[in-house]
Amino acid sequence: MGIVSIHPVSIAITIANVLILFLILKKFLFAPVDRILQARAKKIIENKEVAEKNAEEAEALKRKYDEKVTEIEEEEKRRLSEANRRASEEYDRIVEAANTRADQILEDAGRKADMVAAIRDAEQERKIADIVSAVAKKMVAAKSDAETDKNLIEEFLSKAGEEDGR
Amino acid sequence: MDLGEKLVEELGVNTLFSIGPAVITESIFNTWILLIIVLVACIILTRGFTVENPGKRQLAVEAFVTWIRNMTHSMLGDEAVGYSWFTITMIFFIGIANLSALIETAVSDNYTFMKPPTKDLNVTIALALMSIVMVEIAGIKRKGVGGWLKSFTKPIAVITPINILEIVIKPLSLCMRLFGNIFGGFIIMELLKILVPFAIPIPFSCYFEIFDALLQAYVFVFLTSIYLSEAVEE
Repeated sequence: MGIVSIHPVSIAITIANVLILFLILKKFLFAPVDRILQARAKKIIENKEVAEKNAEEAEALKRKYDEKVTEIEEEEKRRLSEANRRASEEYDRIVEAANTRADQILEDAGRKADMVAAIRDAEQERKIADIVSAVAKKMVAAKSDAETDKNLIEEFLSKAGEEDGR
Repeated sequence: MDLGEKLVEELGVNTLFSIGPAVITESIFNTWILLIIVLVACIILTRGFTVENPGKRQLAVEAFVTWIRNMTHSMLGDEAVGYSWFTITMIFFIGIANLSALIETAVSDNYTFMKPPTKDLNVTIALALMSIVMVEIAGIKRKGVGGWLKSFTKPIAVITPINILEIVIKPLSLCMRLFGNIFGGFIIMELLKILVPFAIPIPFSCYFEIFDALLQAYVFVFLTSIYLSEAVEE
């Protein structure tokens, strides 16, 4: 056989060989590799889905938690303001009561003072009357002269002054 | 034996045996051996693949498969990407056939183990025939028989004969380029080995048997890809 002789049979067999190589590559190289690559891609997608789901769940939990925190904060605020309101009410009430009581005390004190003054006045009046009646009695008993009258009057006045000075 | 005779003998494709009317030549027998090697290599390389925690071997195989896919995809373009199985097979076939020259060993007067099959004109003719048939099938599938026939008159009717000639020219150039390059590289290597049997042929061997071998596989597939993408474009 020479260097460049053409044999149809050789050509046909070579074509068959190429097709066999194609089948070998397809079945024993590309198919297993593709199987793995596809499985891996599927797994990655699945993992991604799981991760996304987890992230979503975490997000939902976080939102719920935030809501709860806000709720709690609001409740706290509400309670605090309620407490403040009550405290200030109580304060107002106490101050009001204290004021009322003080007013009452003052009023009582005033009344008492008035009463004491009235009593004193009455006592003084009574004493003056006593003195006057005593002077009158002495005057009547002594039938004294003008000098004696003058002394009696002075005595009366000094007694009255003593009564006043007390 | 003088140089010429020796070369003719080295270059010749011997018939090993025949099965009925089928004559089995050296190149076909070597191709069979290569197919068995590829089959065994594929089975061994893809054994025990796991989805998670792939080993180095698995990563390498996956990277190679992805790389060769992307390469053929980029050569074919998006429209003709459906034919990537064909170009991948071609680049594999030509690549391993050319690289087999690395372990070429003369076993007997009649049989040289791993004499590259692509050095046999019949093999390159077969590859080129497959290419052109594939290109025309792609064209007919895309445009229908009428559209395919009409495409010969494009871009202008005057060049119709040239377009028809191309059916022959394209595969002929593919086939001759591959055959000529491997053949030429082989002749240079043989001459070198005869003239300087020691050390000097090694870098040349690297060039012709590794670089040129893969380059020719790439060129063959690249041109086929261009023809295919031309055939499927509107």
